Amino acid sequence: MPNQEVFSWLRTRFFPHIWCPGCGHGIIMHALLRALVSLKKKKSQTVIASGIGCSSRMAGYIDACTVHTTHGRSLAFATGIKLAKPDLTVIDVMGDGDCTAIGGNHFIHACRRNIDITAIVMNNNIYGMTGGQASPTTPAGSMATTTPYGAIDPSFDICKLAEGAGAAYVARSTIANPKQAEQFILNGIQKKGFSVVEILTHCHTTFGRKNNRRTPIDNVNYFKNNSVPLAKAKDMSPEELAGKIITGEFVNKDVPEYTDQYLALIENVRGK
Amino acid sequence: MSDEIIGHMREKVLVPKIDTSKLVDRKRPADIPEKFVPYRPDPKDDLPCMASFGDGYTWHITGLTHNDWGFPTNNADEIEKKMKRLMRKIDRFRDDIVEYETVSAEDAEVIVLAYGSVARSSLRAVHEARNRGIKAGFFRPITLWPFPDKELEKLARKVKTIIVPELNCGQMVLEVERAVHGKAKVVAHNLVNGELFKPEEILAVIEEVA
Repeated sequence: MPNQEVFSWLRTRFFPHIWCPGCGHGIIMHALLRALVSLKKKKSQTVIASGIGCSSRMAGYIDACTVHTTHGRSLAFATGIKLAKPDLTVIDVMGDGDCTAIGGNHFIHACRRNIDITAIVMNNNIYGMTGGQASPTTPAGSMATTTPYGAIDPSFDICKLAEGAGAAYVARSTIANPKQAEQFILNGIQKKGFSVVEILTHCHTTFGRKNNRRTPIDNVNYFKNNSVPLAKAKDMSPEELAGKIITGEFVNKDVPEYTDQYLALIENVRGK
Repeated sequence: MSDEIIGHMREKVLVPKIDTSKLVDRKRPADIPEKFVPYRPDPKDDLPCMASFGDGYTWHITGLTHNDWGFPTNNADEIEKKMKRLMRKIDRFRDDIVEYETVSAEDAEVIVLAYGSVARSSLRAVHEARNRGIKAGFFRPITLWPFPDKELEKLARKVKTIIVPELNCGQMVLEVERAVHGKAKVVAHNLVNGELFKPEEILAVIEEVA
């Protein structure tokens, strides 16, 4: 039973949720709610935007100002909300399909603009809701319904993508390390600028069953056994790091934030 | 709705002065946040209230079919209730939504009905036909849906022929036929070779049917 304050952020009216038993998305939602509670955020001043897919249903389950938008475009909605009301805390929860495929453009430009939004990317390496099609983060060699002989496309590294595009805060954790995930989400929300927190999760239903990770616990163990903290990864060779998940904070820098610049521009133009 | 030609066109435009005193804001909730049901219409006017994010209310927006709470639902009764309310709302404000323009239609025998970029060539052709003594008129739907069907039907009672030029194999003409309902002859004129209509091409059709 979660603590009462965390529990009060749930819209239990909308339960039962649609996630499969053992899904990792709930661990991420719990981490997000703990971070919001410890930051003393108000529900009516907190916006959660989401795209489409299993991940997107999270917005509905959280009792805040929530928008369940179109596939990949949640950052466009979130950007509009943040520009209209910069005082609101805006969090965008999305899946790997939202972030790197359908919404790839929205993602890189949100990073480039450095608008004060926290993007939580639930990367389960697959399009789970629609039946297990390969996504841009499906690792090469993995089986998916659309790659019955194994994927040959190299997969995206979301954190490198975010870093290259200019995000102010970039971190990665896994659902096997919920405390760390919570801390990174908290740091991301506190960061004035665009924050990307990638959290590896699993879809045992559509990805796991084809890749020898059939049960939820297989996946938790997989994440535990294959995660390498950034500090340790620095001393490892590319061969040693093959197939490993590097976790930690990759970027934490101060760059001018977009809504500040936008408001300053308005002042500037009006002053003339 | 726009089209490629209008998108690429450059010319002087006059922006009408907008009277902001007529702007109507969405109905805001009177209920306290705990009692606010975002998609439950007020029985008095069939309209739900809308809160803005940051106003003190928490609520959910979705693109999926939803219930009174805004939560996705597959419940047939709830979906039907929502869809029918939206249609009722459009029907109720149909006359406010529908927009169209007519030029020298009062005494016209031939009407050219055109939408979007085709309207420009059509209007020129109508002016030219008038210069040649043909009683030609012009009808331009500005909204395609709801279609100005009542207005067009009224006009059709007075004219002989309605020409519908379109840069496709004939789409809007079906809607025109539905609205006119046999009260005037409807002539489709289509072009799909990547070129635009030249006014003289439409003029030739006017002369042919006049």
